[in-house]
Amino acid sequence: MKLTVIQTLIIILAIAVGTQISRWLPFLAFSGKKETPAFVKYLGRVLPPALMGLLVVYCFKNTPIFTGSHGLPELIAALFVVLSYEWKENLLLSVGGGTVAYMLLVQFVF
Amino acid sequence: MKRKVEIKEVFRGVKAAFPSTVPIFFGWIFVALTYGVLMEELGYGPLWTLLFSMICFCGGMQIAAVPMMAAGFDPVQMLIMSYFVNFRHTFYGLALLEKYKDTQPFKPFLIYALADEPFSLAVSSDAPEGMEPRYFFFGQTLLLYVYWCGLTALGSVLGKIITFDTTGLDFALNALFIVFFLQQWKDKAKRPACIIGVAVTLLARIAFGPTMFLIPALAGMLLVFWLGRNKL
Repeated sequence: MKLTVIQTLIIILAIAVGTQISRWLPFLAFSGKKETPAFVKYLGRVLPPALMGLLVVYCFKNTPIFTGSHGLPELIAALFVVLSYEWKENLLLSVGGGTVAYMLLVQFVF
Repeated sequence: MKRKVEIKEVFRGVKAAFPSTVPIFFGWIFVALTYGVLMEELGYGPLWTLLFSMICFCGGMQIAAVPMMAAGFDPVQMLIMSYFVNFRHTFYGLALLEKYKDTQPFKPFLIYALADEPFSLAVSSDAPEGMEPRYFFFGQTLLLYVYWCGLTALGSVLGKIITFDTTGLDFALNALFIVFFLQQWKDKAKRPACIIGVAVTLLARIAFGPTMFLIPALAGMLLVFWLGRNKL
């Protein structure tokens, strides 16, 4: 442990507070007493798929395209996930298989 | 707002939610083990890891906090960082305002634990016929909460015993979100929003670099959705 016990507890609280603010904001802003604005309702419909797209891009934010392995291990493993899921629709197979494929690629191939 | 809770219904809710949570349990094994091992390497045992998971319950930020803690003690930076890293959760809340509307007395817990996976489960499933949705959503989130806390603590224990090269283990999370994205993509009506989400985030990443792009991406998404509010 680099930090002391007290310092670690403070860090835990800091992470929790930062996270909780982001989670509570919309529920506090639209607390159900008044009718939720139409635009917010519309956002509730279009945001889920858009945010899932954001999460996918976010996962690969540090993948080097122009240097190193040019993102090839990521591309191959991601293709495995997509194709295996299209084929079997089994989350365990796609997540487990994709991860094992990626680990083999970065540890032994690239 | 006091509402009566039937204990029997809580159990039914957990039972009904269980099948949908199983894939995430398995998907999390890799991530939780990685996190436990990273914490172990920094000198934090299973109890510390459990405490982090129980109070913070934010996988990505918990992992991001490990190198930050290795660098030194900076709680203000940590708080700001975790707010911005988890800024997307505000949008999750917007997306779940309707679904979580009638969930008292579980609502505070559902909001408390509104991370990526509970969000994706809640948007992609509904309570079975004849069950109050609040019991179902509580069952989902409770199970995921228990999984994450248990698995990360276990990962910390196993980290001592298992010694193998964990390089690349973190890809499990990427794979999980690719699958969740594909599930959204299956619904043709959702594809325009899928494309907007990917395109705007990708542009923001190119324009703002790997550490600063999330907020511009979310702002850009809001703008595009506002412009397209009559078409989408």
